[in-house]
Amino acid sequence: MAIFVSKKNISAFEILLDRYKIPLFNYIKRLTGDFHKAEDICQEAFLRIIKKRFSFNSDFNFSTWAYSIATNLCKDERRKDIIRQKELLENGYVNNQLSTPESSVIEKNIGEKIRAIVSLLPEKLKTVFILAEYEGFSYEKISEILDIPVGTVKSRMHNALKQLMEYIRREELINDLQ
Amino acid sequence: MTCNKNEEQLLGYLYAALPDDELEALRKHISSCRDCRDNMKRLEGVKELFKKWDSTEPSADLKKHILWEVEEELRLEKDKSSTNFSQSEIEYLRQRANSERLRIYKTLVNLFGREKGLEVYRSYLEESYKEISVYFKDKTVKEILLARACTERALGFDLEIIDIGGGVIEETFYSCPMISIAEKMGIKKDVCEIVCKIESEMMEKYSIMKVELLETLVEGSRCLFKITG
Repeated sequence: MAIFVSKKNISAFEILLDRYKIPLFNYIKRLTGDFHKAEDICQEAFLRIIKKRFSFNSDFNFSTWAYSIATNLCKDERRKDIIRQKELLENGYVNNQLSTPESSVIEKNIGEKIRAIVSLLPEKLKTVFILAEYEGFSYEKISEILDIPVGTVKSRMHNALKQLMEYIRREELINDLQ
Repeated sequence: MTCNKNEEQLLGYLYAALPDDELEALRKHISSCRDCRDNMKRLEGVKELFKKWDSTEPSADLKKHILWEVEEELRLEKDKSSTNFSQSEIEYLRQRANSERLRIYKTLVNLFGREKGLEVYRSYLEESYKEISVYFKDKTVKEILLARACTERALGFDLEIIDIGGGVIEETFYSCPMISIAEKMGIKKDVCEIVCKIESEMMEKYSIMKVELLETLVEGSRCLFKITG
């Protein structure tokens, strides 16, 4: 399965855009926790898809490729954030908002609470968890997207679940269900 | 007596996020452990809990912004490529590439009949790529094949995206030029499809390729057409 976009044929690209815009945006938003950043990264992801379309490896399907691009862009963004944060600290500027934007789980509704506890997961665990739980990818597909063995995907998923379970107990979220 | 399996293990089971042997052992255990079965029901609730984090709609302008950026990128690409090839050059190369492949194919089928013709055509392709690769001593045949593919795309062969439903998008790149030529020349479609299949199998065989290499091949592909054209 492969995808090529002719220079003359922008409507072909629109088919992909319509299909993947919302899922990719949501994936990025869940990873970054920021609406505007997610829109910027989503835009950049589609632009990269166009720029790199000739190098698309047809051993993969399009969604695997697109999610892989989005994941890498999020990683880059995270790296930039860390550098910015370091620079600010070196200059003696302490910005609590930048350091731990979502470290507190003081939220009102249950959806917000879940968002907050997932955001506390380490980046690698969070990525696997979001791809599996919210994007519905199999562990095999996730291993292709992240280019890691299936066993690693499973162990990251299990670690993510263990940590989430701990937060759920700590925040007594399980009571919200009953 | 209460069971010693903890919730984390059961959650791992629920999500199949454990090694296969552990999953199997837990499956056997759960089927005979009432405590675990009760616990599993409770953990189903955790799954439900995760679902409470809803999706969000992006802003209505997102599509517009992406399309604007993409159109701009394609315009820049066009400008860039036009400095490499003039329109008349592109037209000439395209015609030469099409007619050359068709001429060889038709000659072979006329000479040897369909079955043998296809076989010889396949050998021809293999041999011709080997020959071409002589010009690129530092590159392998698979890279040359990709260079050729890049050139054909750059020259604007008809590329199609077909939505065949169920989230599947197939491309008909390799088969497209050959079939459209075949139609014009009155060659039966099924014969061409076999040829295309053979060719795409060959392509597939050689097309495992790293992203970084492709960019360096754009220049190579131009040379390729100078040689074959």
